[in-house]
Amino acid sequence: MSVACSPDVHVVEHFLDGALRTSRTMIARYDAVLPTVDGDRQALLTALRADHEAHASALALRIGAGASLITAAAFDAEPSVKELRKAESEAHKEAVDQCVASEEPQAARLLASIAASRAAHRELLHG
Amino acid sequence: MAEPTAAPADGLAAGLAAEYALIYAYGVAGAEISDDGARSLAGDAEYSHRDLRDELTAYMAGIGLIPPPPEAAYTMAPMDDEGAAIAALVALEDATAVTWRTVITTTTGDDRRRALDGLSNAASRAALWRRWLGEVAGTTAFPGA
Repeated sequence: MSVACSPDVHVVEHFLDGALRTSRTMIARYDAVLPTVDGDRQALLTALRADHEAHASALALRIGAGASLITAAAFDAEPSVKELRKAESEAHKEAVDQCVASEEPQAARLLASIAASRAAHRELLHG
Repeated sequence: MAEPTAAPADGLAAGLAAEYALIYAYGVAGAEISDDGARSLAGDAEYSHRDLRDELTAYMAGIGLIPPPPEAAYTMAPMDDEGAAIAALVALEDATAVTWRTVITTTTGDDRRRALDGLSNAASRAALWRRWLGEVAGTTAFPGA
């Protein structure tokens, strides 16, 4: 990657790397919970997982070749909807901080939508 | 697509104007919504937008900006029955998300954080409405886009 040629680009790429890692971690979290639910709840979680897949694809497209090296982080939370909601809340806050720190408009807009999507997930997982 | 050119203060004002319109809309829609679940959703959403409005006006005043006042009335889509009222609210939540997302690139720091609050709230309310209307999740992967 050529990110070292510009300090600004390097900073933004760092944020995108972190966002992609979190998206892939969220996908792994959903994969852990999905076998434990069924019916309407399973359909909901499947749809929310698809949003994270879309986030990961968009982030990987912007990051480029290095994206394939970014993997999900390890997690040891119990596979439950309650833990998913907590993870969505934390992921939302992380994306907000990344968006606020981003200096590149396109990246900031992408991170903003990802943050909002994660906030919506948190609300849908309530109750 | 052209980059937004509004100054930061204009951006916050645009977001505030969208919140004013939504609060007005919830007031109008309330007369048409009778289902208990929908009334609960509408009540929660209206309060969330009122909270955002209050926080935003206080924030703008705190940094030396004069928050614009609301309009006396807003032109709304027809809300002749419950279905039409909820459809109008969903459309307005989506439009508010678009407004706040546009503000993202004209702001920095705490101003941008306010815009993110607005975008996240509108996206959440729209998703909850769509879920109530029967969609599996009601989400979009990229709210405001």
